[in-house]
Amino acid sequence: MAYDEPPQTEPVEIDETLFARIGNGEPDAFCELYYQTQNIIYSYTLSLLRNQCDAEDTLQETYLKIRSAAHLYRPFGKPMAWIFTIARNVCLMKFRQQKHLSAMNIENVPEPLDFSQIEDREDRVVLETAFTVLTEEEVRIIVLHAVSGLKHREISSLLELPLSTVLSKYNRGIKKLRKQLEGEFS
Amino acid sequence: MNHTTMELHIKKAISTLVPDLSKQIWNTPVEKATGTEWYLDGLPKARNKTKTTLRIFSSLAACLALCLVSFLWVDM
Repeated sequence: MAYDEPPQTEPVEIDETLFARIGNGEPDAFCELYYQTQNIIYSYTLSLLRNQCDAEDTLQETYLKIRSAAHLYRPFGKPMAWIFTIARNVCLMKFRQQKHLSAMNIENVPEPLDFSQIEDREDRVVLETAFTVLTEEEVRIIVLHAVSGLKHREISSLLELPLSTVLSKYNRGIKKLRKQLEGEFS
Repeated sequence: MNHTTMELHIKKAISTLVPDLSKQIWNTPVEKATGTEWYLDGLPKARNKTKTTLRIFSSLAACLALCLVSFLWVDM
């Protein structure tokens, strides 16, 4: 299978001293970390939860937890992995809460994805199509690759999936997306 | 449409969806984590320096005592 590595997006490089500064209460450090990583964390939570409201809640919750725990961060060369672990734990808690609500017969119907606020038609159609035709893991891998600029190897480590799985799902997803979009834009 | 263009569209689309919550989050009061919270599951735990130092010194002391006993045993 062909292995394509699009060189479009520069990978995010996070200064690990930001965590200590956030722990010391420096708002500038927090804003720097937030703006560097917000799109990546949002795309991850959206691909996991498939609901914009839940993705926003989880984004906010994740950064609150990062603020709480920033003083505990020890530089080990993988700041994104640290942030992703917190985001994944917050998403898992959200899943548990949803399961608990449905077990108690409390109506918790998720709203369908609505991308109408994206003004550019092509951007909107591509994202809508990705969330419609691709499987959850395919969306997660493709969206993370597009937004973060991380290499497939780094994505496999963050998502705890074998590299071969990430590569095959990425290539399969891209093919499916291309085929579907050919119909949309022809 | 090639994969690079598709990824570029996805990136642009996501950036228009993400809300700017930085100020709101910063203005929300938070408690400092102790290290045992549920959201830190799976993260490498920070080692307690005092405990580690104590452990090293006690191991060294035990080794030294063992050497001394062995030496005295042979000498006797």
